[in-house]
Amino acid sequence: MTFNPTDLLAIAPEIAVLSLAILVIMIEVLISRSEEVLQGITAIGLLAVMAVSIFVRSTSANVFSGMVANDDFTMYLKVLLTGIALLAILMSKDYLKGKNFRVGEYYTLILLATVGMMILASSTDLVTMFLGIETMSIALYALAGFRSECSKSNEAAMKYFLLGAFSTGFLLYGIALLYGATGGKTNFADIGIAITAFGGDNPAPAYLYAGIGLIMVGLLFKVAAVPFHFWSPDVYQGAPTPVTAFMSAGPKAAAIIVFLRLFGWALPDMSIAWQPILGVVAAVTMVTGNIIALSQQNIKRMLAYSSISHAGYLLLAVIAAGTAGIRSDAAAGMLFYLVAYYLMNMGAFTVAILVSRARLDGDYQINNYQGLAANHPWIAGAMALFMISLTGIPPTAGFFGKLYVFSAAVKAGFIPLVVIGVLASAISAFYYLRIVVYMYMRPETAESSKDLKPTPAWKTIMIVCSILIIYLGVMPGMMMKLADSSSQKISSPNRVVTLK
Amino acid sequence: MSNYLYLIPIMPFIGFLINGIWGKKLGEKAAGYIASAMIGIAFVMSVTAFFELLGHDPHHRVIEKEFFSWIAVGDLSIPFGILLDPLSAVMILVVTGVSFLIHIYSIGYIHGDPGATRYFAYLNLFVFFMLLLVLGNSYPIMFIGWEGVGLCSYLLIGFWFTDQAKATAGKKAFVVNRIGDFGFLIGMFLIYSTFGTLTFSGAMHGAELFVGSTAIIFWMTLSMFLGATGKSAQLPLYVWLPDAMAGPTPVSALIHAATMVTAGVYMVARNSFLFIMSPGTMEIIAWVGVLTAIFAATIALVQNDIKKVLAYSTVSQLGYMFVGVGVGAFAAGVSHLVTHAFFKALLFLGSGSVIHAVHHAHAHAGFKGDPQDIRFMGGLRSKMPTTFWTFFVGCIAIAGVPGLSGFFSKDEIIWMTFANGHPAIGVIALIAAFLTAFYMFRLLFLTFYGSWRGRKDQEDHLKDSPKVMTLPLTVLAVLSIIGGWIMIPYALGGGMQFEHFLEPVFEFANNFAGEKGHPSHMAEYSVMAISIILAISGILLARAWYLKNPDIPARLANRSKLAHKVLFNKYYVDEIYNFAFIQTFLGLGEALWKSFDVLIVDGIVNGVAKLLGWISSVVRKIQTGLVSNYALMMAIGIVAVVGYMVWKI
Amino acid sequence: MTVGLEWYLWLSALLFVIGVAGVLTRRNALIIFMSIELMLNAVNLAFVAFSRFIPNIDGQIFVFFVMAVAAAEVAVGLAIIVTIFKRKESVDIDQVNLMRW
Repeated sequence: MTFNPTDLLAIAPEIAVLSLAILVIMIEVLISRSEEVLQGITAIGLLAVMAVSIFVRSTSANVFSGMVANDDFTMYLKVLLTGIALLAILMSKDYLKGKNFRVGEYYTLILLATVGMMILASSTDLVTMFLGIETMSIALYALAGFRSECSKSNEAAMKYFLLGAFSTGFLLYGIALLYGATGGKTNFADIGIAITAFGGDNPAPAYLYAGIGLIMVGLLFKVAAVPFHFWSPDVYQGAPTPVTAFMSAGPKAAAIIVFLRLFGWALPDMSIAWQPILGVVAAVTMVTGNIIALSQQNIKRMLAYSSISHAGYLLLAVIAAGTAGIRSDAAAGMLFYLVAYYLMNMGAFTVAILVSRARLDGDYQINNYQGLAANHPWIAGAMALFMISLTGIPPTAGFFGKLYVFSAAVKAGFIPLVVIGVLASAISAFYYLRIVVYMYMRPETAESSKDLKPTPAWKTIMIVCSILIIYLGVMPGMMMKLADSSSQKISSPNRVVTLK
Repeated sequence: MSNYLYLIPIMPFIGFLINGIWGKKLGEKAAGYIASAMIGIAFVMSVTAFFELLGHDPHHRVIEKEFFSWIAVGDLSIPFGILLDPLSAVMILVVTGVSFLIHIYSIGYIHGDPGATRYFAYLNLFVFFMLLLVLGNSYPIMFIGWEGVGLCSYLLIGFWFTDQAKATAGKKAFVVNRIGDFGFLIGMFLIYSTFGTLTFSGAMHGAELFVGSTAIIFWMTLSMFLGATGKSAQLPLYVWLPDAMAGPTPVSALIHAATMVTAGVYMVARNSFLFIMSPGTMEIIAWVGVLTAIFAATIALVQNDIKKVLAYSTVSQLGYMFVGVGVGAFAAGVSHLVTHAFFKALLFLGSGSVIHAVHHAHAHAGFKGDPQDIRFMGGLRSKMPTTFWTFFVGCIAIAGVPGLSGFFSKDEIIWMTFANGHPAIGVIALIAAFLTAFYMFRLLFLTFYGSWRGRKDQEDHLKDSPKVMTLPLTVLAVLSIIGGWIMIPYALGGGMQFEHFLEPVFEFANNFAGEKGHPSHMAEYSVMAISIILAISGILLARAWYLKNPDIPARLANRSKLAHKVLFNKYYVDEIYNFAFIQTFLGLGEALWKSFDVLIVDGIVNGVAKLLGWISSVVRKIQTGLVSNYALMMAIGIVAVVGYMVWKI
Repeated sequence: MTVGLEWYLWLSALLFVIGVAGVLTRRNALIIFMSIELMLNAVNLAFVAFSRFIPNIDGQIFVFFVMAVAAAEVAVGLAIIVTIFKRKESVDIDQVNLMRW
């Protein structure tokens, strides 16, 4: 196995984020504990990472012996994940104020989680996948419990940690079995090749199937699909809100992408076995997530269930990817969906922070939105847009995300699943638009007429998200082209080639 | 003009932006003028475009402009384009024309309301989406319009949101429309999976070449029709429309009578090439249409709220349009769509004028009563002459009095049911026509004739509405009279220019259906004669009951005891048949309204929401908050997944 | 009779199931955590066994990664459990249910 120094260019974004993380924590310890300084450095650093992701590229398709992917698709994902971290940090800026947090640690943890997500999203090997998942998760456990003075935050961390570690056990066991069953392969492409060798006189061992099942479970946990979703509402509710926003967008995106890579590129030959399971899981996830969200009174919890249902829609793309000839469509749909979901979800959480902050008790009850439109037409308008986009009503990004993913699933022939998906999103209108009803059609209360005082950082997030949602809803062409052309050439590097 | 077609929808959008952003600063008056001016410009552009289209050879009357490649990924390619063909040209003329008049009317109607600028902004946004809906050249664009008009309708119904009932009505409209949207989306996905394209022309091409099971076409068209029943208020999804009357009256006129609710009919007409391939769906459409027509007409018989009568009447008339397209007479369905837009907008605006006047009278007299209850009106003819005359024209137009627009379009539909071999549907449609004449004239007589049934001090304050409101009424009245003159059938020496204009759009459908043979003019005359007799007798009966002997309906209400006396009453002894007949319908109307409408259908719609909420409150309990339970659930899930995987080998 | 791959796999499976059972039945967060560690070690055993029998060195490398990650997890996990303990004077997970439904 050879190692080419230029391979490092392929993981330059990861290295950059990691260095940034170390830099931030060192600055906090040694130089300055000023929030402004640390935030500024983190934000500028992340912008630099975006540039690095785009411009610093290794030309080799097969880096680190095929352990990570190096292509446009992966690059877009890294930009997306950096963007998620950037918005999370912007969102945190004024949230952290007066909470007596060690901001440097906080930013460092976000950056470390981002490193994990980037590794995960680019991994094409079980080893890198595992490392990515764990780097991401461990940082997130700590982030969920970051408000150590708050019981709910503690509880969130505890639940997340215990269940997360539990699911890691299954994931690892699955990896071990898959490794054994394929004769020592950990590379996705190699696994795919090894699996084609089975059949006829050489039947696959039972533990191959068990291994795939266990890996599937481990990943389903990370994307919070029913029935492995139980952690997510509690964790989302208890974690500091910017962290919730970050968790609902980033880790989900990274995990669903590796899901797609593993099942679409390594295991399509096994699709007869896993597609039905995922189909059932996706259907149950879409329906359950949306149904339970209906009766939520806390907006963070409601958005948690909403994000569960969105994981269900995303799973449709994974399922479609198992069908020959559809996988690049599915990948493109997923990329578009992730971008849309990121924008609308981050936006919604920003408004949630704003509204709750103006309350005396700082709670997240949906009642707080009554009559918001009267005093804060712009904020209410932005929130309405986010909700409409989450519902999937045109002309918003959310609509095209769904259209794109659903049409990939239709092409792959999963029409009943799409019918369930459309029905589930019809149900989702009830709770998303309830917020709109509260804002526009309920009289304002003494509480809701208070000034929300959006700071420049929050205003920026809302404006950027709104504009991009409308842009992608009206002119989705360019983004779709990017998604499509990059997903046509997703590399699945083969490790055997480099063994000289 | 054809290069600037996109400006037609853009104009109202600009109006929306101006009023939405600076409305508060501009003030109510300026907002109204800007909104109206934008629609006016769009209307002029539509007329220009229409004449340009007319200049083409009939078979080349299609202007399809693709402005940019909206979505182009892999084999999914959706250009952002506008399709102007005779069908969409008719639609944009109706939409911009009628909404222009309604915008002007609104200036007077909404005067003094604190939310007036918001109102005009929403109204403009609505027109934008409606134009997008009819002009789009692909399903996604149509869907954007489809969702957009739904959203605006929702906002406008709940416009006076301080009133809880109004906000609830808005919500109901939204819920029902979601069900419809679900159908539309599924239909769209089925079209995509079958034909691999989402443009109308692509789908049409695909339909031409289509070989294979028509089952898929059946499901495709049925899902789309489900969408249409939601938007166009057909059985069983009509419930939201009567409730939607909670919104301002011009909104009812524009959205819930003239334009948005006809979107379903437009959609079926636009997809005539698909629907015609599925006789099963067509049969369903025709039956749903005719049942809705008669069902809503019977309910309209017993309503006392002036707008509710008109609302059920709209549901009923939409039923006729679906009968038209359902029996394959697409052009006839669209004709009725157009004439209905005129006379129903007229009637709604007229009712708005009445409500406006009564409301002011009540306000002056310091009386808090329902200004929409016709039981407390009467004698308005002399107080509000313009409103009365125009309303009268609307009534005779909808009743089907020969020579007016409603006669030609409705008669064509009824005739086509017989000509295309659906006599049962035709008979029901004729009965509904009789009921239509009856309930409309009941409304007219109760409102405008007789003497004022309210208090004297109110009566003194009644006066006709301002010019800005009566002028649109006059224009619409003229249109309601002459609008049908381009639809006069050959049998009456007409040229059916309207049908010929639309013909190229439905060419595929008509060829597919094949030649039905030419029934004689004699048959057509007799159907026409029957329908005229029914209309006239409906009017006369209403006159007899509500004008000459206003106590009869009240006695009929207590009929069970009096039935015997009534039947042998010397006055009506020769009208026994008529009586038995109408009694049944009155009773049926009352019963349907109270049981089926209020309890069942309404109950189902509200029930679905409640049921989902209940399920949700139960299912959420599985989230116990205990880690150990979560771990157990996960373990069960894992055993299931791994078990299935291993068992599968 | 030789001790073949299957012996190791069954042992590993057994250990793993014991770990899972521990997680499901215990209420003390620390013991649950230890059970999870047992699951991870069962996995390590499977890795080493596969690595020995295939033969392929990657499995053993994987074991090192697993151990490193597990150590990191212990650090964060214990910190979380200690915080809970400081607040509640207990590590009984059944008392941690502020958030539900």
